[in-house]
Amino acid sequence: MTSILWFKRDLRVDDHPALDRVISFDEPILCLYIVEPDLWRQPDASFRQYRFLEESLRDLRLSLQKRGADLVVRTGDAVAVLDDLVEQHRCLRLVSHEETGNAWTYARDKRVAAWARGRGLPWIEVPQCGVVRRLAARSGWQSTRDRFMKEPCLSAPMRIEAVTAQSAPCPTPADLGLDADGIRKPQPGGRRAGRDCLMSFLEYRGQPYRRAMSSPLEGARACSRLSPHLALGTLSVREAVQATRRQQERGRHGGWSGSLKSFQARLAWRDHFMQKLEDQPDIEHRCLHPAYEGLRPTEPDQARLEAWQAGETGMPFVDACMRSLRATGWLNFRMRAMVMSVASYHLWLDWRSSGHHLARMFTDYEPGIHWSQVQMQSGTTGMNTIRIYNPVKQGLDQDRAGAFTRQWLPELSAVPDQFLQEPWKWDGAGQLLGRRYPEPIVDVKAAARAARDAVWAVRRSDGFRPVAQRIVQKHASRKSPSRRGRSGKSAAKRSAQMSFDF
Amino acid sequence: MARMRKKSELPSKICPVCMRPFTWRRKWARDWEHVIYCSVRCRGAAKTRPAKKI
Repeated sequence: MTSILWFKRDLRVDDHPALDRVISFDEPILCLYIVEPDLWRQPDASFRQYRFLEESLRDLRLSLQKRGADLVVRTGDAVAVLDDLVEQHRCLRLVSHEETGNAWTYARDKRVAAWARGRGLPWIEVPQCGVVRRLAARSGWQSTRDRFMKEPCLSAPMRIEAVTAQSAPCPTPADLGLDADGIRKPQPGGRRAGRDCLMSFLEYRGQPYRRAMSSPLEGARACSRLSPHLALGTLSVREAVQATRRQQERGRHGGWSGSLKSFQARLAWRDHFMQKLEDQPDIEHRCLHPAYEGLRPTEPDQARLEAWQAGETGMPFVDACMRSLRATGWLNFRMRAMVMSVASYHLWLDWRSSGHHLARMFTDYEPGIHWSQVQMQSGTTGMNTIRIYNPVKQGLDQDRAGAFTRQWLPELSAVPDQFLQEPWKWDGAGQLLGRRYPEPIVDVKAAARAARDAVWAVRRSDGFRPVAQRIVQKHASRKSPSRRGRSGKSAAKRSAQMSFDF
Repeated sequence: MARMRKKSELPSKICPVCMRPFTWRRKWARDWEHVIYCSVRCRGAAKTRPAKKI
């Protein structure tokens, strides 16, 4: 008699509610990970994500072995693999975490559920973060999440009584058809690296977090960099929340308290955004507000899309961000919003094609955050104000010294500082533009204006508002702007800073 | 003889302690896969810090 513990995006043994549950049955456990080739063929999957996964699985296997168990890795369709194992090992139940994944994993989970029902096999799914399944209404969601985060973390069991089964090595990326994708400085996977990240962030890297997070250069160090670890669950969100809480209770000074508070807010936003995809899985494919469907051409302008992906748009800061992202698999939040906004407004590309590219480039791809954000930065949610980032201004603000832009665009070395973000205004532009670096593929100002007019025309159209109201009711944060700040100017400033939030 | 490689073409990684990138060194040829930290200092920082439950 055995139970299967199916590892998904929860590659750890500490604070692992599903493991805790399966142990309570007091039967041998089969620890399973299924590599699903079809998942890796989806347009949001990439080499860099798989590489991070492999490293994390390696680490998970070691922690299981230390406890007398082992990780069984199988490759294939989930239902086929599970059916085979249940048959062979006479399993009594399947235990896993609730997953808020992309449409593909949602459909797979439905198939697994149907198969389990058919076999009379109970499938127990438990939450591992603040996302609530079958949420009736958004009101009260925040306090449910807070309660979950206050529960003590579950400690890893000393020993796991395990069943071993035949395990196959992980397929290579090439086996899965994943080609090298330009990653040159990958962030290491696995729990150990994740713990190091959390520790170094809370001990010293995070002190300037609040101030530095907006800059792609300083942010690379001052941001937590926990995102890929949280996405694959080598750390639980609750561990991160509680470790941060402990640092807050130490009452540290010198910028720490503001930074830790900001960080906690972002950990909460993570769950908040994932809840949207949980509540409405089709936001990966359809505009949240249907009035925006068909606003942009469904078939994207291929030349523009490719220029944007390659970092060859002629807008230096955008190009630097896109090239940096390709090489490192990471970008700070503000610049993610900016590159998405430029693709959707200035370049007028449908968010589905550009969104898939970004999904692949993000080592930390988390469908719930991703598709909510992609739509928000494209203005298709109907409930958020339209924010069109000006890439020139962002470059001037967030890369004042030009170090980031110059690092990724060596071809601009001759451009003087004052023209770095607008090389077309420079006297010597003739030597450079259209030769070693492209002319901007759109007129930055005119393109933004045209996009603004088009999007506002939709907002003003008949029938827009009632639908928007319903969306707000279903998805919006219940935090009122007035509660976010203290008073007067600072309230306005803070609500502006936090207004990416609902 | 092996073709000369530009230093900038060498593989690199990001150190999980200091979050700075570091590049491949010849000494690491045998097990670059398992190199995690950029320096003795960072490895030390990762290990000597009290093993707090996180």
